[in-house]
Amino acid sequence: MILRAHGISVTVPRGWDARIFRRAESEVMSPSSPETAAPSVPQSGVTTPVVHLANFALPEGRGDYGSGAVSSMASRHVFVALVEFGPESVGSPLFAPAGLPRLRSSELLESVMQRPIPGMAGAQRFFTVSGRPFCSYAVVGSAARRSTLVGVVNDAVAGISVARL
Amino acid sequence: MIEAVVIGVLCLLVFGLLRSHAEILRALHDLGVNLDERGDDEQTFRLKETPAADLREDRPGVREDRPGVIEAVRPTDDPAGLGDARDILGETPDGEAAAIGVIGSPQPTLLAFLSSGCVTCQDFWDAFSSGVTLELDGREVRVVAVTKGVDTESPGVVAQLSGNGFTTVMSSSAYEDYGVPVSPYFVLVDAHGSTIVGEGAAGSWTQLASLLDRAVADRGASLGANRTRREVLSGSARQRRIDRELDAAGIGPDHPSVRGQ
Repeated sequence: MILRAHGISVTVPRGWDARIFRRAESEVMSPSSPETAAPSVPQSGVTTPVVHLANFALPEGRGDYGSGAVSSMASRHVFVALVEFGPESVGSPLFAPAGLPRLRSSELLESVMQRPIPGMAGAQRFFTVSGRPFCSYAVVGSAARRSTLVGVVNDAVAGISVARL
Repeated sequence: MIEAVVIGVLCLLVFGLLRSHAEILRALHDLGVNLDERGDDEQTFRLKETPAADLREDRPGVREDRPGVIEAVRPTDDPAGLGDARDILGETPDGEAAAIGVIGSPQPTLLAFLSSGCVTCQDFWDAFSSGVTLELDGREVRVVAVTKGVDTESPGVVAQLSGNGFTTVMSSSAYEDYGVPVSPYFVLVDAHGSTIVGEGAAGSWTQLASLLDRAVADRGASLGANRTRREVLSGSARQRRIDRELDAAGIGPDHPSVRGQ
């Protein structure tokens, strides 16, 4: 099963939940800088595509980095978020790594989680693929089983492809 | 005098016809046939025992050879089975591209095929939005409301009906995959596999809950057959299952067999 939107394609593993979305932008525009008089930026900021991929039922009302979903994870669960950044990030040192990341189990740490939850672990990577800058954020439901679950995460991420826009 | 005899004979004939008609209706009812076409009061929940031999071929995907009963038919290797579930691909009312995992889910999944326009469906939208939950075999059931795609339904209207407590996905392909003949229509998928344990139409939330209860009672031995070892060994789940099966068999706490009499 392949899910496509916003130039992103996800081969969804059997039985997994996935979403590709882009949050709505404010219709009210603001000047992009004090020197610029003409309004050119939505008041909400420019939104970019987000991918959520999980081997459990994704709840509604999730944050970009999985808040609202991660807290309901069981020990065998994994969650992956891919958040695109604006074009101004392209070429910056943070996003210098090229291609979708492949995690090592040692990278999955409780301290990396956006909101640390005892027993769980997460990993974050910044990279650029097809000229588009992304942050990937992965969470495993059990830090003790991270050596097994990291393979599940990597297999899922390997099914994602990003087209140049 | 002759007139009285004729009238008496006619009365006997009418009485006999009415009685015969009543017996026919009762026999049809016992066989599960309902002649009421309205469907609002219909209970058409289908379990795996339903024989598939009498399916009609003239309208693929729909079985309606029994008046008042409309059931989906899909390809299956097991003639006594309901076929296998499939994951769902579509989009949410908010415009998110969505894949919904049904196969292998650790919890049972209730697919509620609803439309935004039908009056009967409103009861289910209201019930799901109010936070009503279902539990089967000790596990919470994931409720997924499925409408047809944006080519048929208005995302704005569906968004107003959807809620945070359940998943809503718009997917015309899911209607085709599951052979859904009418809305509202319900498909219950077992946990840890792709087995459809029951499906059918129901006219109200109360009726659906009752139908699901019956399905679980009737299929108690097989529902959750792929339970994890922890679930199998769970005393509370086992106790609930035993209570439910005894209740379905008409054996309550006061039954002589329970008290050892």
